[in-house]
Amino acid sequence: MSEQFSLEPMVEMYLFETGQLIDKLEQIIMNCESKSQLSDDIDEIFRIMHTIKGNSMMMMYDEIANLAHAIEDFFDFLKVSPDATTELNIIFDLLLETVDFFKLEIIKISNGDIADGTCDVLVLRIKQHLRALKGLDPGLEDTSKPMDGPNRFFIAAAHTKESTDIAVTENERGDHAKYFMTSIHFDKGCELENVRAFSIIHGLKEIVEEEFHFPPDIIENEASVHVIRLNGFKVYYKTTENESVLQLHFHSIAFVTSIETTEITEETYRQFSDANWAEKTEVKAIEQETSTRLVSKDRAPKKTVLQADTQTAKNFITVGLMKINQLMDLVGELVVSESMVTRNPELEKLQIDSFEKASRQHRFIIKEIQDVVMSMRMVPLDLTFQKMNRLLRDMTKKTNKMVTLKIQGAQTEVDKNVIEQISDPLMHIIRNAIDHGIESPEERKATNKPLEGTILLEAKQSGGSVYIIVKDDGRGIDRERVLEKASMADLLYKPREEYTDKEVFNLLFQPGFSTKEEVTEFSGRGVGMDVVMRNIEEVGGAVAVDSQFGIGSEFVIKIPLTLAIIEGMLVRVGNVIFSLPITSIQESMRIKSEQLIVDNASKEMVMIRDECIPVHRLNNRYSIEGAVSCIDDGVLVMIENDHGKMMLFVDEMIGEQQLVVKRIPKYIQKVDGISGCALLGDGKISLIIDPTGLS
Amino acid sequence: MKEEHESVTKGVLDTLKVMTFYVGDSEYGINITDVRDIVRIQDITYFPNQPQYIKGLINLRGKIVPTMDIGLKFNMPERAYDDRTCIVVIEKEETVLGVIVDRINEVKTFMINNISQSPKAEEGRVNDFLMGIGQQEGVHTLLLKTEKVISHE
Repeated sequence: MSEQFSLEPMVEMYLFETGQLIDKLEQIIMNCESKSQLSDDIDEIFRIMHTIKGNSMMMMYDEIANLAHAIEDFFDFLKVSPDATTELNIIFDLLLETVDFFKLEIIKISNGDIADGTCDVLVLRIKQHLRALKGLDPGLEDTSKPMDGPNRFFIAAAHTKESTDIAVTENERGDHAKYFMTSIHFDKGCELENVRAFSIIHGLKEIVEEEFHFPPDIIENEASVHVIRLNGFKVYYKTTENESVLQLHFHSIAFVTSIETTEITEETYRQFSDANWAEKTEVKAIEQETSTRLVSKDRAPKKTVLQADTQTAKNFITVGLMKINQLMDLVGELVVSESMVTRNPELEKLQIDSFEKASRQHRFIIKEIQDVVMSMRMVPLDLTFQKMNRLLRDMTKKTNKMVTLKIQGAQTEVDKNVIEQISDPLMHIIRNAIDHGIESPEERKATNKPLEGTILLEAKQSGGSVYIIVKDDGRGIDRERVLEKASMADLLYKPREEYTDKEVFNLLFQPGFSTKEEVTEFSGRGVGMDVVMRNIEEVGGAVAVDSQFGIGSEFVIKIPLTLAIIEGMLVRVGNVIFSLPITSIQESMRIKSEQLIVDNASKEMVMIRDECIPVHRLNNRYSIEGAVSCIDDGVLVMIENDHGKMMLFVDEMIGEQQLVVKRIPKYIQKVDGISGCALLGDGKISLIIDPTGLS
Repeated sequence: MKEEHESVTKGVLDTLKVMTFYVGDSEYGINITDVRDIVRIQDITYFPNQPQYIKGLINLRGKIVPTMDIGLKFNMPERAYDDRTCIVVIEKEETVLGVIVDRINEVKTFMINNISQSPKAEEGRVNDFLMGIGQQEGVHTLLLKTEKVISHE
């Protein structure tokens, strides 16, 4: 039990737990709001607030604790009188404001900043509303009892009977029971203060009728040591015993620096013995006593959470993302080193059967490990999609539009590293859809559309990618307006009529497209679609938009299933080794130069089964010297991307290999068609081709 | 290596410690705090469609590092690489870059007030890159600005 706490792991735990609780709470609120019903979830909301409060108090995030406490009181009341109000909207609003405050403070803490937000106004509103529901006059005074009791207690030596407030209670024996508070300080550096405190209590229980002590959970909670060191150990007790007996007991404990005993009123004692005393009074009371910070923790709420969550707790374990990424890297290296061993050229010559068998098994097991580790990083899009509900709610309220969000395929999983990057772009797209896409109810009525607009948010997996689709039935994209805006922003490079619809829509993604006139509270602030596109491209994805004027728009985000390992086909062009994703390869062949067709623009193509497929020479495209130039001497690889089929002309095909994908270093300038690099077994570097980028 | 040098250079504010090397006939220096590693010249994997001074990628113990020939960047004629050619791996603002140099020299310490300003030539490319010229025992060292080295200007 050293002097210093290492708060770092504690803070992380706190952030993680509280973050989860906040998300859960928000979901519950959204759910209740859509049902316009609160009664089923009152208990759970109470429990969540209780836990957040307890955790925040322990971590000394007082504002968060206070706010949680206010809501907790509110729901404590609702537990008893669930039908106290039909105006649920006020409650939902207060709850969501609370959630927002929590989120903000959590962000600050996770950035290493101080959680300095204040919420007195919100707390006051909550309290006032509670008073209103109780039928009380919504006065501005605090509903919790002020604790000035402890202020009177620091009398230097032994207790005094001079206080006129002392009341005397009669018990069955006819003796007068009295109430005392004793504050004990231990010697500095004596260690194990909580254990010593425990022995005081243990002995005291034999002597007195009742006792309560603070901090309450001395043995289970290590933080209590710190509290005792700072403020002493306090015992409140009711007894008929002679004072000297008690003094004897207290003095019998070793390492005690000071003992201060004062007699207190029954009323004061009752306040402490009340079941809720720890929560209502301790923070305020101790703050009045001393200005030093206090670490206190209410053990009870943690227990309830444990009970409620033991089911899930048994089945899940929390692991830092960094560890998983490390594991991922190591597995990648394992894959490469396995290749180096089993594909050793000298070994291949020997052709040993037993070795072949063993290495096959080896490769199989490694593949299994790889699959499992990759699946560890996969996270369903569920949570991300749920966040959109909140966005929708806030925006529809503010814009007075009626919009409903339909979610499909939320169980689709995506690499955790990818999910972080697409959350913001997705929100931006949906924001745009609501702000600019969906029309006002009046406008929709005039065009015979259902008054309520629909946004469909769908996720599905296909090939090596995940597609996220945002489809709305709004007014669609006005081609002429886009061209007009692009023209004003100087983005047009050819006459307007020559633009295909697709090209017009792509203008939306150009930097500088959003002009000031379109700035609303939510969108058009210059954090435009170009940022959206960039974020998505950073994870190796792409975004495209399609639209029909008057009918609606559809945004399609395509992201790779995983960034980490792909199955590649190695091909050689000159002395450069390229990797083609296996999933994109259709077939490969050799042709004779006579079969090659050249058009009047010098574009080459070849006829395969009555289909005309363009031929791309990689050596030309990438200025590679020393590559094969005669068609007869090379290989054609047919690949397919989103735009169609094409033939890549390469020197030779080397073979399949598992590749650990690495990002192209920052310094290197982006090249169309190359999306990453990979280390090969022999230490060489291969460039990974992105078929879509070749078009 | 970084931490060690950082603490040394931080402790003595009026000196600059640089890693010196030769490109052609001139001696250059880069702030030692920006130097991560120095390795012998090794296989460089070509990366297409880059400026001529970017040679390609190297595999540095599992990490993929881009390399450039600083002589070519200074518009010097192409030089052949031999067994004394080295790659100085620098890092600044999250960009890692390997700089190909002819010969690696030694770490030199210069007093800040002894560093002369480089003459401002009209288009002299090299001068843009310099934060000054240091002199020690009759030898002039052209002190490079790391941020200029990693930029594409």
